[in-house]
Amino acid sequence: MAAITFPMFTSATTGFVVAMAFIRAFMVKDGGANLGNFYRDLVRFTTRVLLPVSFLLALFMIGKVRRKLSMAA
Amino acid sequence: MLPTNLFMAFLIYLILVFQDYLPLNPLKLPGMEPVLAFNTAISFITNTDWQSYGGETTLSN
Repeated sequence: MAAITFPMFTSATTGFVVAMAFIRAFMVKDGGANLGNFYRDLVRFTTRVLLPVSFLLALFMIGKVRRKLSMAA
Repeated sequence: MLPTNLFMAFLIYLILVFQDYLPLNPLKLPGMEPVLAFNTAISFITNTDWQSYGGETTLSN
C-alpha cells in the first residue's frame, strides 16, 4: 500500500509543478531564463499544500463516523 | 520531471515485485508478477490509478 500512496502525492505534485514552470515562463520578465527550481517547488507544494490538506481531510473523514469502531457489539 | 518520474516508477516497481521480502507484510502476500507490477507502477505515476486486481488481496502494506 505504500507503493500506491506515495505516487498519489508525487504524481499530483509533478503535474502541478510543471504547470507552475509553464506559467512562470509567461509571467517572468526575462522570458524563460529562470523558471524556478523544480525540486524546490516539489518539496514546497508537497509540504505546504498536500500534506496539511490530507491531514485535515483525514481528521474530517474520521469525525464523520457514527458507529462504534470496535469489534465488541 | 522525466528523470524523477522514471526513478519513482522504478522504485514502485521494485517495491511491488519484492513485496514478499520487504517488511510490513502481515498477510504474507507474494510478490506481484512483473508485468502487473510494471502496469501498476506506470498507472500510478501518471495519476491514472488503475488497479486490475483486488487491492486488499494483492498489495501488502
